[in-house]
Amino acid sequence: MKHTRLRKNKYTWLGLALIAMCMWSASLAGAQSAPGNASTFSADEIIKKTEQLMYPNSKTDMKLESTYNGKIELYSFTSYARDNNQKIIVRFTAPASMVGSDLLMLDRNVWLYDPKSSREMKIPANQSFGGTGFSYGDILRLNFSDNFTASILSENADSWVLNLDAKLRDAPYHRIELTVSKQFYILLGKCYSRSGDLVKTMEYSKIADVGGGLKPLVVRVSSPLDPKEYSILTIVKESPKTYALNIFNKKNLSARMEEK
Amino acid sequence: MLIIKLAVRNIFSHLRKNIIIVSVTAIVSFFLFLFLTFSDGEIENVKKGVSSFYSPRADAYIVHKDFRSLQYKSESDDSAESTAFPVSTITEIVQHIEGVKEVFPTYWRVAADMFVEGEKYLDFGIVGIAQDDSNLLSKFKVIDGSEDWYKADISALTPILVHKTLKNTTNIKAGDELTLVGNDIFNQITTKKGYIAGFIDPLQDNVNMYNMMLIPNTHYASYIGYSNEEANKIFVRYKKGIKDKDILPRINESLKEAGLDLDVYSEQEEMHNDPWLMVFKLIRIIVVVATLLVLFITAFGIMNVTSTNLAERKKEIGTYYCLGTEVPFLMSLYTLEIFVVNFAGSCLGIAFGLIGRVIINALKITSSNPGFLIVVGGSHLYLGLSLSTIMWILGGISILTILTALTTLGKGLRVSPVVAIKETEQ
Repeated sequence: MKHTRLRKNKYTWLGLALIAMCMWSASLAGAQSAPGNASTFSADEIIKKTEQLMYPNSKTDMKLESTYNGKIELYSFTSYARDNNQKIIVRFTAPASMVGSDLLMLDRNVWLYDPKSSREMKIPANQSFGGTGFSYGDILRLNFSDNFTASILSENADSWVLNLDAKLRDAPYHRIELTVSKQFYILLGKCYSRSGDLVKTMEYSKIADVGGGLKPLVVRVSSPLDPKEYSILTIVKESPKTYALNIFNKKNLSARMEEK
Repeated sequence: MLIIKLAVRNIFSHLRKNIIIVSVTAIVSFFLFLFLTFSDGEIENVKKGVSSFYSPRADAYIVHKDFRSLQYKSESDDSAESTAFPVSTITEIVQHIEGVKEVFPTYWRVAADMFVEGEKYLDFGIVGIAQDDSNLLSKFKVIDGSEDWYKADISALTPILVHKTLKNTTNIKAGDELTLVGNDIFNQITTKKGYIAGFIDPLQDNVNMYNMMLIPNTHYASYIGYSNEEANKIFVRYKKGIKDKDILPRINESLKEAGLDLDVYSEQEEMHNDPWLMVFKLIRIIVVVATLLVLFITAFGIMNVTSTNLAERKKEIGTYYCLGTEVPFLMSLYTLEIFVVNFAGSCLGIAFGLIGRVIINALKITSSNPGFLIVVGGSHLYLGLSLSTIMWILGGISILTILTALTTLGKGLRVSPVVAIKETEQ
């Protein structure tokens, strides 16, 4: 792990005092949580805090806008999540063709419910989500602590750049370079394949609170391989709630117990 | 012996009628033969073409002890890691066993999207080719590239062959750099940078091969998530004339001596999941059912001919009765007579069919029309030949002849000796 440490000597005291003053004023100005610094947080702690903020146990309404060659497709859905996105149910509300085609992610497995046959089908987590730049894994498996080993690559006054290496061969990406703000929300994610090719860039923006704390509400996913294609995922509303474990099973895709 | 003598004499004494029956049976058999050999040819084309790429075969296979049971339980996703074993250690041991021709690893097939010059081409099926796989390397020619395309170093850009149709239908040309993107066998996103090393011209083409790409095995292993030293299946091909019982025990022993407890089994035990072959085997069943219908219609013809024949031979039958012949003897005699005539017709039809097959195959009818490729199973119209085809025609005609003769003869032989004598007097 690369930790940047400040050398404490008599010539830097003045500088440190100034930085501390700036940080204190920033927190007074309305920052959600106290900013971290290199000496107080390890990479694992940063990831855990990031996940707590970004992926709380909650019901979340989201919109997904996919653009390819100027053609736009819109999706709306609600997710019910717990345990850092390790257990999620996604229910589509639009377009009409997708209503009922709900998803369940349990640990590393993803199931799609087919309303026509009333059956659950296991699907690869990396399968494209309705032809968008997102894969099911991007929406369902944005779980860093279980899939990746984190280390700090670099740090500046506002953010850390973390290196996430896949723990197992079935992690969605071989490596992710994650820029995390000192308020523990993600600013930028760069996903790499085993060959070292950049396959996906996730840019986070529009920091606001829609019920789950101050964090980026919009993530834009693009790939350098196909510049004509990009997708934008927006959090519309977030309601923190811890759902019972028993609703996260395949049979519940048709039973819809979380709504009762 | 008497019965055979009488049957032969009867056949020649009614030669004109029997020639007509032989001709009809021969024509029916000829067309049945052509239909069935066409179906044999389709299966042969698929085996030599698309199946040899997507579902290749070997003489023996080496896998992890748990591989087959996990595959049977459809747990291949989970077994990818647990059933991987060291490749070079095994190939080193097996290739030195006498009678072994080729040993090389083979991998699960995965798909890829291809990005070339800002354009995206979706859903390609990748086939990894081992340098030692003489069978697969002999199945195609390379257009706009070198025949040694696959000998590229693992650290270099991956040489990729794509189907020749892409040369005409897209802007892709030899030398273009590209990136392959897909999911590996562990479901992790994977990429590979490569270049178009040429275009595949399969000797037996098929529309299912239009989206096929060939890459060297070592590059493919890394694309699907394995290291160069990992595989979960090894193909073993024998030298000519070598049988399983001569070599399988020796492979097993050698691996055990090296401390490797693996599962070694022959081609007979292999469960092939070959959808293309399954389609054409189903078509064969349809063709066989169609031939059954033809035989069923032919049976009515045989019935008619038999009863008419007997009606005209009341004199002869009456004489047999007067000479003290019993019904079972006459049944056997006339059944044998009809059987010999129809069997001869069948053989003649098959003989003409064999000549027709040689002529049609010699014409070397080829086409790259997709419809032709689908119907024929490959780019060459080929009439195959199998023992089952000949047995089906000969057996079918024979059984049908005997059954129809037996059901028709009972009525035809009910002739009173008195009536027969009267007919003789007239």
